[in-house]
Amino acid sequence: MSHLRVLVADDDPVSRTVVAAILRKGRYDVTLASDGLEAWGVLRTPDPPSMAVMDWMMPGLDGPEICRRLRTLQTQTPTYVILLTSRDASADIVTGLQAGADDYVTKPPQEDELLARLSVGTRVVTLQQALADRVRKLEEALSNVKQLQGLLPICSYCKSIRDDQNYWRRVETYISDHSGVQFSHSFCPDCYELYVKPQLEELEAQQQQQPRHRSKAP
Amino acid sequence: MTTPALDAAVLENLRQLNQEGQPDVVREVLTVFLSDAPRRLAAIDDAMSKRDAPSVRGAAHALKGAAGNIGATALHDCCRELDEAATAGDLDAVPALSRQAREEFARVRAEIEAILAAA
Repeated sequence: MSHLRVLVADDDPVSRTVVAAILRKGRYDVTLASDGLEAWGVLRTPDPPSMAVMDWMMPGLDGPEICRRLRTLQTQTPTYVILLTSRDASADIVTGLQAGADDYVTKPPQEDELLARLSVGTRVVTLQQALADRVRKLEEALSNVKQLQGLLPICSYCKSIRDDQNYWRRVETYISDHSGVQFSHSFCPDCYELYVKPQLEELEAQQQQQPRHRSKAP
Repeated sequence: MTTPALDAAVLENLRQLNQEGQPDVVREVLTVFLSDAPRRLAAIDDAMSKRDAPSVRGAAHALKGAAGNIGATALHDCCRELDEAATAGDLDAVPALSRQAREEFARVRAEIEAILAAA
């Protein structure tokens, strides 16, 4: 399994160093950002880190504002965000979670606690990715499904059908193209009486009238 | 006997983060702290002279976090008081707290330098 990439965003270099060391021990790939704008720049790229550990108060954009912006991105695999916050700030924690953070950890971060919460995040992110893959496969399958639907213009006489490109197509061709159906041609009893039998009788009569051909002598 | 400026348990936790073939985490963290903390202290005094409470708060908050990460408990607590004072707009309390922070930082620095020299 490839290593998950985690963004560490904190304007305090000491905190960045400690969090990065914890993440590396947990075998995560680490990307660093030293302020809110830099963090946002990383998170809005087409292939952002799966998770982020973010300080609450940063110059530029703060943690909650970044969370709010993340929620506006149209993606089926949003970055899992853990906010770093001071111990005595429960109101801030509520604000953070309401702004869209997935979890929080109080500072200074403890190795076992941070890694445990990142494990939870890994489960969520893995599940999201699996779901997104499945949806994509289903959408592809759906676009390949052949269907007969709608109002079809059909010729009253020969039963040709006019398709989406305005071509008149034989009804067998149209139905074959739009379903899994194939045709084997034969006659219904009525048409046999009406068309086929007279033709066969006429052919037989023609053959009877013609003299037998002798092959020419060499 | 005075209490150590750095909490031994915190330093031990940092030591646990070491990985083979990687630079020593304790050395890295303490070095970064030494180079960053003085400018935070200066920023507190600078903001104070301009009576800029939000900037005092920002610098104190950052130094508080850094101190917490290396187990400098007394310095952390002092910065928390600075953070709270600045948040409440009580700038009169700041100068005394800032002096206290500087004194505590001096103790912290001495201890860090001893650790780095011993390694």
